[in-house]
Amino acid sequence: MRSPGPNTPAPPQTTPLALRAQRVTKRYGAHTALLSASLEVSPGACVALVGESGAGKTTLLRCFNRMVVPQEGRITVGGRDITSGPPHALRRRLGYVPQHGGLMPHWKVLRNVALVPRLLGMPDAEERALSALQRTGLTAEDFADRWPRSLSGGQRQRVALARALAADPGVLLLDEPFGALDAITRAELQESFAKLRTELKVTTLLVTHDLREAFLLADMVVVLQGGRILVSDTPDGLREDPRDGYVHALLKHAGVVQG
Amino acid sequence: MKKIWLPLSLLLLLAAPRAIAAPSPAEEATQVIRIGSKPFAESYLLAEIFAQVLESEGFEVSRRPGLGSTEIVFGALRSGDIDLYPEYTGTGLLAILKEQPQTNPREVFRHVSQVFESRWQIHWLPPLGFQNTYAVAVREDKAEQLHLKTLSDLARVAPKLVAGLSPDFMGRPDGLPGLSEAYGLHFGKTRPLLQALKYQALNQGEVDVIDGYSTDGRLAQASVRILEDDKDFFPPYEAVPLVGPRLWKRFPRAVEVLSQLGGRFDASHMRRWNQRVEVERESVSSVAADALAELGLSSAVHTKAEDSEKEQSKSFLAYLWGRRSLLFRLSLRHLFLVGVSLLAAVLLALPAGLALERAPRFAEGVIRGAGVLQTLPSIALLAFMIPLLGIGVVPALAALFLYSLYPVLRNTYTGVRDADDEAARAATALGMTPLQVLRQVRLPLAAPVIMAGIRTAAVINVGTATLAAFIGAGGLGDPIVSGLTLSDTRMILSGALPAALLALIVDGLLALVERFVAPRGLRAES
Repeated sequence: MRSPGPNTPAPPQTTPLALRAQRVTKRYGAHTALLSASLEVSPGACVALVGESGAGKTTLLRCFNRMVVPQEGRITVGGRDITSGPPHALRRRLGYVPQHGGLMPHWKVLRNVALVPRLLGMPDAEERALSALQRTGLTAEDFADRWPRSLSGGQRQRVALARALAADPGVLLLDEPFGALDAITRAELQESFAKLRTELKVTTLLVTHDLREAFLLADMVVVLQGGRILVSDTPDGLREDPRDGYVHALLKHAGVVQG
Repeated sequence: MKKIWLPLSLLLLLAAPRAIAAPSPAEEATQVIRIGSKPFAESYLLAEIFAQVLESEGFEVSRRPGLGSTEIVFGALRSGDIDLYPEYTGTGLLAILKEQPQTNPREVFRHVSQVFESRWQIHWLPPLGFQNTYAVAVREDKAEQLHLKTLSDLARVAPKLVAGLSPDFMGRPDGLPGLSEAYGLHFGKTRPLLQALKYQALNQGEVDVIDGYSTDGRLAQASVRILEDDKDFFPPYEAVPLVGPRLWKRFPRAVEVLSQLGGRFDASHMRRWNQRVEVERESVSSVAADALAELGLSSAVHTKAEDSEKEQSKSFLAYLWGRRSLLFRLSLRHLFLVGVSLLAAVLLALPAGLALERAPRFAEGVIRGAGVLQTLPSIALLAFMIPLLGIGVVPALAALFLYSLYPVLRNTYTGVRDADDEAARAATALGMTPLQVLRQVRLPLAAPVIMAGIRTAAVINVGTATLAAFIGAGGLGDPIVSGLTLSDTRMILSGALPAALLALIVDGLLALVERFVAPRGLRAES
């Protein structure tokens, strides 16, 4: 991680938005992915969704940008029902980072990062893309003109993060953004993301199967199992009192608590 | 080929009767008599004889020789694209009317005349005087030794003989099976042999008996004896000028002239003229002129063409060079056929492939439908086109267009569907509309696969377009078809080599297009 140089642009003004899901249920045929899940994220907070594969954490995250449409329940972003407008208008206001970056292989880095500002018709799309690159620790002169396939895994995720941030969204949806990286690169990215969050104050929903990551980055940790929300609390609160045998076992297994 | 006729005739019922490409009024109004032929030497020669006779009587004639199969040339006569071609009564009975074989030549002629006239207003003029039927031949020394004159003679000694027969003859009811029954004929051994190899095998003593066509020029050359069909087993195949309604109604004088050819020919003359074309490689027009002189129908005796002698001694390159302007014109026509049909196919199949990606429920059905078109034998598809579009460039373009649809459609659909799904999903999740995802992400990413489909279609098209010669559309198939007919390897190559070269050039040009449209980020060197 490069330390922010003198020419690092000042963090832009973002208005963080509240997220709210009320009794959300999603079924795929006979399989229930989410059952009456309710979640509240206050503006500027970072909430981690944790649990095993199939627990429903990614499904819940994708309900917020309408990539998943639940059968029941109501979801609001910034107090507005997300079904009140066209899905693409909603999505342009929500930063999103998928597990493998999802960069457009036929576009250079700068064009990738400028995607959302351009969709929003921002006249300064390119400047925004350049400053977003800098914020994620990639120098414009080295990276703007590169093809995605020439980047390392860590660099690709930084570009994806920059792309999610370029239009200064009020919400960031991170779907296991560091999950596919090796341990050292992951630690680097976690560190720089933590730093970025203190500057940006953007509302963040983070899906991860890595409990250490959740405890490191989130203000609030939500544990899911079989499509239900078991527990949600601050990292300290969970450490002191996991409340549930499954949660305790999970935390113990991850080495977050002893005994 | 039979199996496809049911679906084809169903299609025919659905398709509008050939409103699109009826012969143009201009051509209809002209005084030109259009003469067709099938793609074998005798048919070429008879058509040329008809043409020269009519020309000598002051008619204007256009020649369309070498039209595909019986279906194609007869289709062209029915649709009015040609006015006349040489046909055989047995073929009319068995292949066109699909009736049972009969043995009496007069009966067969009377029957086909009646049915063709009432059904299609097509007229069989008086038979020319010879038959081109199946013939069974024995090597001369063997025939001498065993005293063989007739097929009944042959039946006596057949168990001691080896026969080399064409696979077709071995299977047809009017071939070996019927012959065995009629004469009690059973060979000691039968070997399937291709027509072209038979004479060689006979001369080298590998086989004793072969089947052939009674006027085959090579029978005149080889020292063989044709055995008499003393029980009249073989169906009669009398050669006859077959005349369509336009000629019949509008040119009674021409019909009269052609009718006067009736009874003037005989099999041994015909065999000798075929030999001059097939074996000695003389030009069809000079042999036709000689034939007319021998028949006493023209005074100008053509001297044996010396230029064709000279032609034979030239090197292949000199031969090609001598034909350069013809080959250039044929190549341009070929390119035109391929280019226009391919362009039309891309204009239809590319948007259709994209639309199917949005409607995956219909995709497999539609694409398989296009795939079925691909499985139709080209010659059958061309034959099917004739009632709808006549002969010439238009049906050739239509057939090539249909053949190009499948690769373009399939590759567009698959390419767009399978284009980097993660990128497409991320693009959607970041707020692109479905149309934006298609145009900005899926389509560029699918470009290499789509281009591969277009290149496949183009190369296949260059090859298939050589068959356009069978329906008189020209192109590099012309010398290939003529060369096959006249067993002239150099002529075949003079069409086949430029066609192969054209395929390479077209593929190379499209590779350049692909470099231009395929996104750079996908290439290894970036």
